[in-house]
Amino acid sequence: MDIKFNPFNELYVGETVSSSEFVELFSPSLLPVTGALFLPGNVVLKGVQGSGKSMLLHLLRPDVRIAYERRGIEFPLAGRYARFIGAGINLTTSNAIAFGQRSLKDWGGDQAVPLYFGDFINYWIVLDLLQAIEALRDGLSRASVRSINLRADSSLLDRFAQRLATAKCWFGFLDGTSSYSDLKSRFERRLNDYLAFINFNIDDIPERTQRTKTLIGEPISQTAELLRSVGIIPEDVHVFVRIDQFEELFRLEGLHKQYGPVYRSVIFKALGLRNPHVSYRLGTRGSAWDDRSPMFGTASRLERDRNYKLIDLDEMLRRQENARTWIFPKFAEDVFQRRLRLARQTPEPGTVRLVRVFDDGPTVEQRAQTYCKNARPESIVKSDDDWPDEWKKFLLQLAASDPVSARLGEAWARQKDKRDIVNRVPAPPYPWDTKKYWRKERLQLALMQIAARCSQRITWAGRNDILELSGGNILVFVSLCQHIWGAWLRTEPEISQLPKISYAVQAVGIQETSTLWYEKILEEAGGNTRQRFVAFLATAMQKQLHDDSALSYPGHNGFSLSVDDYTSDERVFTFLRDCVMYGVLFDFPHTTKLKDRKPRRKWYLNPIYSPHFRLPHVHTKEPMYLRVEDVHRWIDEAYLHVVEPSLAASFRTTTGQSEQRGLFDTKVERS
Amino acid sequence: MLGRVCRPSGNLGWILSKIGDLGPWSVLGCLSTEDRSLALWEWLVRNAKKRTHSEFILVKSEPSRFSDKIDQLLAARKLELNQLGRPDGNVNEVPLFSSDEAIVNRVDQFIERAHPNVILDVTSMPKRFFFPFIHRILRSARIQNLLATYTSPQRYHDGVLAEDHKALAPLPLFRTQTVAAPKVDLVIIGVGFMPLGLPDFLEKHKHQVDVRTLFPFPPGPPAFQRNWRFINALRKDYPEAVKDPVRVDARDVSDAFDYIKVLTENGRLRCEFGPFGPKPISLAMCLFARLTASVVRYTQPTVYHPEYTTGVQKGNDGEPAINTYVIRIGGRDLYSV
Repeated sequence: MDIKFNPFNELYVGETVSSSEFVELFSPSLLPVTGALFLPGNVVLKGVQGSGKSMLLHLLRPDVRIAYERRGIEFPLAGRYARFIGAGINLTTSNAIAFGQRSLKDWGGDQAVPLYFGDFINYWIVLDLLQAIEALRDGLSRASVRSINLRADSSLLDRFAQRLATAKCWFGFLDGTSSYSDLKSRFERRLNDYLAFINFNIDDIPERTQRTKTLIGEPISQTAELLRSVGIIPEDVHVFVRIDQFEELFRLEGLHKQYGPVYRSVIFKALGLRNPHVSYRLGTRGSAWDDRSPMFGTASRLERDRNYKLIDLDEMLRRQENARTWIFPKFAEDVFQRRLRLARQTPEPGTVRLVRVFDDGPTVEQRAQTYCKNARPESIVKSDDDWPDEWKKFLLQLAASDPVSARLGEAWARQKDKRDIVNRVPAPPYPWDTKKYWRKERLQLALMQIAARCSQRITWAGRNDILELSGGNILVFVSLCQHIWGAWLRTEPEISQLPKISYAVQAVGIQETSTLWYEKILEEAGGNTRQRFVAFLATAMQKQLHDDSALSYPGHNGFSLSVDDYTSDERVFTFLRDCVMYGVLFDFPHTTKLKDRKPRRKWYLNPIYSPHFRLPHVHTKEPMYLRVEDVHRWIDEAYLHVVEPSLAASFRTTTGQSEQRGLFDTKVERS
Repeated sequence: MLGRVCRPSGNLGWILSKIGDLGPWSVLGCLSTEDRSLALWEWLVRNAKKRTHSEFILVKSEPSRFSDKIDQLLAARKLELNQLGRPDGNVNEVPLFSSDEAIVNRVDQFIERAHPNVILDVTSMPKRFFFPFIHRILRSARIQNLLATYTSPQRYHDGVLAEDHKALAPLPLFRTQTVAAPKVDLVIIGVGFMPLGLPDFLEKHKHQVDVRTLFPFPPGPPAFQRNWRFINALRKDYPEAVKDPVRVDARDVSDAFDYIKVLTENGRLRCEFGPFGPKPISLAMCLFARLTASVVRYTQPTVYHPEYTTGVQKGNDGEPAINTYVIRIGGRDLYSV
């Protein structure tokens, strides 16, 4: 056992680890809730980077199936869930989205671009499907090949090729195909012609290709059907087609931009075919899925649950109001144990749980005691000059023994309708401690202010904090474990057994991780503006929460907009959509408390940024109710990088909360 | 030099004096907010070198917080150009995110009108343009002599130089060439100042390929601090790449090209490039990638700081440091594999 090795150094499990490592690290925890992904029917799999999307889609790949067998590990899918062959295309690396970078001399001019895009996808996927069959034939043991009834001897493949070539879907391009290898070389030639055209190595797409453009999805369906009818794959084996990087269709640049919606409509058309032999799997980042455009060449739109099933990993993994339905802790626990096992740091599977290493986390009272360790009571509570001396004295005495209760008592006295308390000091139990929800909703804000008043940084530690800061993202979770483990390795000179890591050391690792993830915003496309937006928003929220001495707005670490408003404003819609797509903001439906009852949506910063900005990560009470104009100004500020500005004067949140203060009533620091 | 082809490079005046009077030169340059963007043109005018069809591109970036400052500096630069005398092909505005076709058309039109002697000034030209420009110019048999020039600045801006990069994508004309392309063996990264999106790029290649870095050496202050920060961004996941960076002279295209030849076993190993480093090293990558049909990927920033650089570095003789590389001479390409 090598305890000194950090078992969390490898962050990614998906396309970035080798297949043999994948089989060790793959966690089957999500399989029970994502079963639809492995059964016939189209599926859209939504999730931000790190949600586990690539990990799940990876199971469809033939090389992963082969790796399981070679390592002697049982494939995590069984029975009808394992009866599939996967093929696919990555829209970016294949260059499919590069159509449109060059004008076409075809009869339809640039209107023919989506036809070529679809044709390219068809040929690419059919070729990949044939290669998948060969990989399984050559990579699996004979017993396994027999068990899935795969027959791919050369004479059968030749017969298949000759019959496939006569299918009408090719419009004659494959006429005269003599063998399987001839078929494959024709496929490669056609795709290479396209690539040569895209790279300006030839002047035009060959005429024969121009005259034989295929309809999206048709050749894939016919190939799958023929593979069954000639007996290469059995009747009950389904063909799954992965389409990766769908979100790139939202980010096409410059003159190319116009093709994004058209390309999406071509993909929609494939999903709309509802072919019994072929199902599509679309992996896409959270908010990059929008099925409102019509399918290519029709006025019809895709219908959820009719044309496809949606698996929203973000929604599934992020904490819901009912914690009992939250599946992320189990997933994280399994990943944690697998990492330790792979690093040979546990003798038995499942013997070391998160709580063994991190503990549950300090209680509110323990946290407060830590912040107040060297503070005088006068620092912990602030009294108004006009408060009676008896009340002031009471608060100071309470602060010495129970700082949290004292801070809540101070807030109670500052709230409308409760101010009379200063004239009659209560006996325990105090009303602010007995009003369960009032207290619960304000605890985190109270702690934040106590820490600030005691000149301490609020800290996060323990299993619960780690899970909540992960925000349902397994990559963030592993990253937190990596940095906490790293901090522990730095602090322990003698290491002989599995650690129980102190809260103080955990706090260091969590702080490092938070700053790292804030810096990582820059790594993604368009990250500078989003990072400035986050800094601007977080700094302003921090300032406002800090100044809320009555603890009236503990939910103002989030904001809410009417759905009508933000969807009708393209700039705000696009910016917020991108922020959610890159995992910078989290969005949720918001049940309005306004009389107009209009549907609303609310946004919060990714909780992993909370330690960096010293903001409570818990979502409680009402977020800020904003107008779309307010968010416009924030975006302006993010682009302009002016944080203390005009905005302060011009911005007032309004709708419905008469006492809600403007977010930027006070000057905030330049980020 | 023994056993190797001679690839002349040096200061512009010295190179022109050595290659003799070949006739007038057509210049393709890029007018920008940087002082150095006009250094070559100013030198040619001042030294009464014969010029024929020449043109500048002016790359329009997307609106940003720097837009006002950019407009102001560009106005000054245009005034300066007017005073020097505008090129007969004028200044042509092109959007930064022009389609591949628009970029190719721009350079093809230039080639059509240009004299067989061409100077391509890559000083202020984004890689998105100069890579395909080199590709097309070398494809043309009309162009008999090609010099590439790069003017060193007096200083770089201290803060962030570029922002809001796009997702990693191949540069125009440097995309995958074949569907059955062999697996990539090696990724070569030019070490620069800003590793925009680079860790994610490499993450995708992890476990599959070797990663090697070309480190500009000697970097000299303050560049070395930024170069090492760049290296640090790779340290954790690519200790091998970081442990043994290949030191190359930041201004020596020929040396960088030869190092790439060695690293790729004279092109036998399939390789992808990430040109994040100095322009001359990127130029070497461009020349090599063109010859071997290698993919070049880059995270194109959408915003450049208007004072990315200021001033023009001067040599001991007081002349601007216009580094000049002979790429083709008398119809013969000097860079080959």
